[in-house]
Amino acid sequence: MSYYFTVMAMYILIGIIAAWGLNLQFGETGVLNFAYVLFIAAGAYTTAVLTLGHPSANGTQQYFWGAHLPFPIPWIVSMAVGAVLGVAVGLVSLRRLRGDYQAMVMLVVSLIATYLVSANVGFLNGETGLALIPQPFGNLHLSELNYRWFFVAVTAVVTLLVFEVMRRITGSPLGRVLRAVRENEAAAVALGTNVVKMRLLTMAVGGAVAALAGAIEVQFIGAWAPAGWTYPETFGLFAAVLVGGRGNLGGVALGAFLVQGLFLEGTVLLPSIGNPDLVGAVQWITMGVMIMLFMWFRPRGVLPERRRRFTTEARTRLPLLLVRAQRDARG
Amino acid sequence: MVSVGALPGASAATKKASGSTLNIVSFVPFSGPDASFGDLALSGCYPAVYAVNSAGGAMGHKLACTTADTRGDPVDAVPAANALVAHASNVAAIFGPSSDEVLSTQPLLEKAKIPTFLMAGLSQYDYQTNPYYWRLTPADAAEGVAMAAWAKEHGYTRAAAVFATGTTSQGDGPASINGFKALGGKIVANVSLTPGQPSYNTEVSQVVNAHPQVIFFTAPADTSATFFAELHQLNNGVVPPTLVTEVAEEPGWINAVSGAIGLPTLEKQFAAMEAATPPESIPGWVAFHHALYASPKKVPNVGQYVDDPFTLSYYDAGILVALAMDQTHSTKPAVFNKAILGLSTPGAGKVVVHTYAAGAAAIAKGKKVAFIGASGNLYINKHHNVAGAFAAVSEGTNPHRIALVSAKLMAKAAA
Amino acid sequence: MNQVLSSLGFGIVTASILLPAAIGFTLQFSATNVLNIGFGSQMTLAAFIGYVCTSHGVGLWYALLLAGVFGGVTSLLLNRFLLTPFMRRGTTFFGMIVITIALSLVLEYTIEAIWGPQSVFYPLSTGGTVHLGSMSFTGEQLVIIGIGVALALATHALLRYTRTGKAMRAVAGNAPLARASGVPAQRIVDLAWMLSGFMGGAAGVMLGISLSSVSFTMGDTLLVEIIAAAVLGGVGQVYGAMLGSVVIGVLLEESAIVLSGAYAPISAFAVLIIVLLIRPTGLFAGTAKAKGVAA
Repeated sequence: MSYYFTVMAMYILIGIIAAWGLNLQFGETGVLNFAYVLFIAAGAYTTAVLTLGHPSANGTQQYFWGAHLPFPIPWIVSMAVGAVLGVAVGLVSLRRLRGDYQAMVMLVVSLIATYLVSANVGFLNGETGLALIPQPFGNLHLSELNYRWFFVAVTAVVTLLVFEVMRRITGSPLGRVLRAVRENEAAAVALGTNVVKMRLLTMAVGGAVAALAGAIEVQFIGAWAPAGWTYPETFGLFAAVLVGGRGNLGGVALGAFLVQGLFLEGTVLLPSIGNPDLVGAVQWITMGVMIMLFMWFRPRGVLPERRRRFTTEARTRLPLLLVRAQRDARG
Repeated sequence: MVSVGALPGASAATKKASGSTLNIVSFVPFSGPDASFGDLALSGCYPAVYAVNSAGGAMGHKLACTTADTRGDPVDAVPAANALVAHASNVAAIFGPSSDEVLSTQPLLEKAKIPTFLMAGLSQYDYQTNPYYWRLTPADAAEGVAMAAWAKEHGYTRAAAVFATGTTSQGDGPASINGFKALGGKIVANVSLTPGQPSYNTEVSQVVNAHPQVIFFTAPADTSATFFAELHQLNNGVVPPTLVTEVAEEPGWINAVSGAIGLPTLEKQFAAMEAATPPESIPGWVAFHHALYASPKKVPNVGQYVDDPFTLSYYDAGILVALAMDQTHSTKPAVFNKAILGLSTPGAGKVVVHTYAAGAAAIAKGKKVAFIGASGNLYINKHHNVAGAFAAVSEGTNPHRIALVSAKLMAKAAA
Repeated sequence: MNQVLSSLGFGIVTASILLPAAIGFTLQFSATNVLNIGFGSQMTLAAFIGYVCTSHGVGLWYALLLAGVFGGVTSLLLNRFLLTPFMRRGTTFFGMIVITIALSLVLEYTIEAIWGPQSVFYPLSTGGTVHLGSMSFTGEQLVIIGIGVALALATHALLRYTRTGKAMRAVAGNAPLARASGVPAQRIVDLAWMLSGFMGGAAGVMLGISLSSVSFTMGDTLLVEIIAAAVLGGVGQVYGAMLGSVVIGVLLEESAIVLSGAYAPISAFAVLIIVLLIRPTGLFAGTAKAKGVAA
């Protein structure tokens, strides 16, 4: 049973990290990144390739490059890849497009990526995916179970670090700018913000955080395949952010716990009654209904975003600026 | 008679001699696109467990078949593997995993040290060295090679290769193409199908325009239905002879494609390459067949499994596991696993048996035993793999064997 | 050249399925500002209802009609009793998207729970094909083209020439103003959803005919293609959706000539991205700018 708790703990922590990255993009800045799972996958594949070693040494798996780098280098490289990919996808979809267009384009990008990987077996071993990915910490002379708890502990530390980073961003002037972009883009532009640059920045940072989540997940599970990052996975994370409370780090963490942890993984613990397909179907139906219920009774999330206090100066100046900005936008 | 208490493993056995049930867990997809794997594993488990329990159990313990759904997803399978391993104390054997999740769950299952009978055809396991892993059915690539050999045998020189992107096709596809070329054949069209598209008409017309004499094909049920319906239309109602693999013998596939082009065409033009099963006259099969129908627990439509190589091999696996327990007087996998190989290989001084009851009785008398069951002589090699013969089986609701595939040509194509 | 023409023919069939689907999807957005991710599942559900009809002996095209009606009614009810209450509560645009995602989960897996994971099929004739030059069509494909084009023309006629249509365009352009001018906005919205549900249902059955199989996941990939067509033409632009359907449908087939396997759909999506890079509002700009969604 303890084994199982390590798995649940890891999935929840990874879900929380991923959800915080999405929260930065969507919750704070209002970027509807429907390709989010792509960044998790990029981080996972990067770490996989950087720890598997050269393809020929690995029997029949085909992939490009390959190295045997020690922890934590693969995770750091994964984050860099996530950031770069975030900027690239952002450049393609965020330029002059409206919010809903951006979202649809990113959805399409996510699908294209899945096709590309599946079709190109030499790239990342196609549909079968990569496996036998080694554990990150080398030989620690610990029992199997204790090794996994150690992994959980390291991930918990990483989670706290990510929390601290997110807290600082959202509490800082940068955070205020991001929320301004989300709430009233015209006003933000009037105040001199380079909105595109801000969005690209959140794509980069969010992408890096997503990639980190992917890197951790792939080394814990030891395998990664396209079936694990289809575009509906992004929707699950959106549900976590919205159900928990966008813009509120604790809320988003709670949302990840509920959606990723309870709804999705907790159901494995249920006894299999009757036809297994039926059980699987009922689980998904339940998740859909739960999401709707949460959105109905707690539309701003279980833990809504805290209203932030403005300084006196902002309280007087801001409305004037907004009025002027809106007038300019109309004219 | 040797005192049971003197043997080291026996103390564990006597501790459990309260008759606790030992489980054979089917660790394969029971939901999702490969849901049919679940019943496939159970189809061999139920008769084996029935046969063992009717003869008094293994070491006094009854066996039971339990399930753990991997959902066909390598990532989802990991928590399922965890749950399995957590309750491993009364697991005697694992049937599975399948190609979908074998790689991601390998580290976990290796640690569990339980005899694991793979349902995965991936080439990774052709030369595997884990003593607890067994694969009693041939690899995917062998199916592709069989396609090439059969085509050559029937004098075809122009073949079209149509494979969908996906796990199994990564094995069959290249093997069939390379094999056919090695036998001097020509691949006139090589088309890749992406599942989920609204139409494959352009791909179909590419195949039709190349005028192949035979088609090598693997794709999921829905994709296959669309492809063949369109091929049927565009080729003026004619579907060229088509060779498919084990995947196409699942009821979902047969259902979908016969709905698209009609059952008569399916039965006439299609042949599936599968591991050859021995004639139904052998005593091991007869016993299996009896157990299949006598068992109180049956999978739905049990009749379709009477000659399925997976079903037969899983039945044999269950019997071998029980015999191994009897022979080593232990229910601890670490002890009885190593006896499995010897029990399946006839040799000097060994009594050949064809049923669990006969085997258990012989062991109780202190004899050495070799079990030749429903699959005939398995010829398990040192990598715990089998490299059996292949046969072409007709498609449709009443499959029957057409003929064996020439082993000589298969060897030449695989080279 | 032959191959190009024959693939053009196939592309027209695919486009004819995308036409009503993309129009329906767009109508829902233009009437209520909701990007309905559950649209694919609604289509699938209607396709299964069509199957229930044909398995009881109802003729194929009559079943298509019934499936369309079923789609229309359920679409209307879904909007009235699920989506509108959420919108009245002030759910944000993005929140509504998540609601429709939840809806798609509930619908798709209810379908699986009822009909199981295996596919079912309509009774299709195995009749001959009609040849038009290098293009060849089966009888059913010709009817599908006919239905798709007819639905598109009917939509055009509705929007251009009827008062209802003009009212719909008014509501699409500026709902409060339309209401203030006496347009019965609620009724118009109901109508838009009913029509879009009807077209989605018809498209679902047409897809099932074209695929020669109906399964609970059949709407999944098509949904992304519908969205691509709708966005290509300009979100909320019905004429844009028509053009987008033709472009995507034909591209999916034509690109398969030179590109193997997955690269065909990839190229169709890539074209979408390229077009949006050049014209960020899609092929038809139009009055949808006034929607004012984060831009």
